[in-house]
Amino acid sequence: MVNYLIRRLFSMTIVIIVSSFLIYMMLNLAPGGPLWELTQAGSSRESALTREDYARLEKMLGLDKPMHLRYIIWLAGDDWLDGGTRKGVIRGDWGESWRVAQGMSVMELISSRIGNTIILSGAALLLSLIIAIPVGIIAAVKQYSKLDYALTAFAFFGVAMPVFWFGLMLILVFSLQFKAWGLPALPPGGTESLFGPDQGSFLDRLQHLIMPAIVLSLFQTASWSRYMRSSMLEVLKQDYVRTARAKGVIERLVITKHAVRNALIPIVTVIVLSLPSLFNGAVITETIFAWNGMGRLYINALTRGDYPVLMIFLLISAILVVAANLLADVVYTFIDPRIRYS
Amino acid sequence: MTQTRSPAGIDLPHRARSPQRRVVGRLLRNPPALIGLGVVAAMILCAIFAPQLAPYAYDAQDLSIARQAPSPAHWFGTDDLGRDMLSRIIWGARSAVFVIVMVMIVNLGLGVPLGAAAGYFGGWVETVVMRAADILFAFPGLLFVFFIAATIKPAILTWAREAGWRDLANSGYLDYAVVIIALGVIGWAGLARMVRAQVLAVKEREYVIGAQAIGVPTWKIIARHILPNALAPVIVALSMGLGDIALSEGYLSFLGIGLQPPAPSWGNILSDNAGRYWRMFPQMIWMVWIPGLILAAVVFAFNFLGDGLNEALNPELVD
Repeated sequence: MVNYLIRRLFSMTIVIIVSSFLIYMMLNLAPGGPLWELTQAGSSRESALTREDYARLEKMLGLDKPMHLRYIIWLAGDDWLDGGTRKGVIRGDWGESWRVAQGMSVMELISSRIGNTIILSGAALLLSLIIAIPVGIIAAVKQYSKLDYALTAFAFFGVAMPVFWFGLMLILVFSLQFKAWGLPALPPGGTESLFGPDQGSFLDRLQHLIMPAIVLSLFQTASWSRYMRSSMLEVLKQDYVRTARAKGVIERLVITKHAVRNALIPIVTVIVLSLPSLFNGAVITETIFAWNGMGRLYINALTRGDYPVLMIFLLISAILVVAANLLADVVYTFIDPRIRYS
Repeated sequence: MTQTRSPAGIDLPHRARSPQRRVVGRLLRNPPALIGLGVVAAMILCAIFAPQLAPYAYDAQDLSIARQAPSPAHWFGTDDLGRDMLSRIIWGARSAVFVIVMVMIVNLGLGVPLGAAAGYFGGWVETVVMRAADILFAFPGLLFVFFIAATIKPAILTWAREAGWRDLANSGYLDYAVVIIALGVIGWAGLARMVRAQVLAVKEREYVIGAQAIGVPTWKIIARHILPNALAPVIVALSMGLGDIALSEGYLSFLGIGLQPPAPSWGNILSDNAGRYWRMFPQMIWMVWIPGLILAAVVFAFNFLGDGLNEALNPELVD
């Protein structure tokens, strides 16, 4: 196990370093580079960027150095060189945002957003678990019943539903239409009210959370319930379940004690693999509901060419995805002693 | 029943139903799969015959008839700029089908040869291919698609302008290239992993060893003996993935990094109309409902079809 972990950690580190290098190259090697947009906007107008301005900007942002050096400076800093001030990502200097929040440190920017994303993704994760596992168990126990078919139809619906359309429809019905009918309506977007007596209160935030959490959890709930169903069906065919029934254990106990606990094993992997979303957020859902989290930050940084923010975001995402993969494999050995890595 | 003569000179009864026929038969006896097939066929017909089917041009604006409710002249109404929604949706089918087909070709063209080579040759080929796949898998899928689309776009535009194709660069056709590259570059990795696993399972079979023993060239062993026997899960994964491609194109265009208006895409029709819709509530219900319903129906159809194919190809897997 220790050997296995060391090998995995080693290859993980390599994957992360190589992928961070590749993203850096992709961002910076694209024709025109990070200042592309500036040269485009002014190319035919009086306000065109002069050559001197361009050179000054390049120097200010450190883009005048060769590529490999820039990557090393980004990663490890340049305070050991003459006149360098950067400490590098690995020593906690994540740089400053260029556009999204000009001049703000990336770390501050991310920590101002991550709370919202953890709330939303966490709520969606919980909601998915609470619904998907019982649904999967029931569908398996009552296999081929009308209920099973209905739940299967629901799963299809959840997997195939375009998230942005579902979100828009919820806003349409529960915010706009309900308001038009004079019913209590849910807020159409944001993380809390902008004004009013209970702005920022728990109840206020909860109201804002309901629709995005439902939209975000729909896909997960649907696919996890399918996993749970097939895992449960698999377990119900096992000899130990037949044995339990044969020795006269009542059916409810067979299901809860013998079947469910074993059927949950593969589900744990699926859940662990979805943990990085607590950092990444959900781009589409956050965009529709104007939820000020990581997903929206990412799209903002992407469309406005905010490279320092993008680099950190993708780096952390990559680390989390790879770590979640490892965690899933390790957790597996703990909950299922039949599995051994060597 | 016809008799076929085997090389050894023994008379064999002709197989009444080929495996392909049996798969098709099972597929046609599956109602959801049939519905899926019907919707997909309708979509493909819309895509092929868009110029004949669409009553108006997809970008024909007429502000005097903006925001009309569905009527005999405009079945799905008109949008904010007076464009006929039915025409935009039919042309949108063409965008969607084009993107799906091209992405599938890119995915297959990269994933199958790379996966097969990794599985068959092993060694450094396998290391390079699989590590490249690992790197792609290190990023959350859709986020990486967005990243690629947003970063290659200026690159492609600059390149087209420098090559003197200013008209092309301004036309919006290059947006299709951006979407196709972004989705194609990501999708091959999963396919390559799957093909590799299949090839590993098949390559020790007797018929492969037999082919090697009689000196069949390597490419022919891979193409004729290994791949056809390893493709069933690939077909299923692909057909399940088609809906995802349609959805991803919708997401990209919805976020404004895919196809740009006036190019017709269900994603940008939705985002365009939704943005204007809130101000106009509740007069313009059709503007958001119809394109969304159609996109949802298509994704459902692909899922049904994929599921049906899965059951038809692997009858023993169905519980």
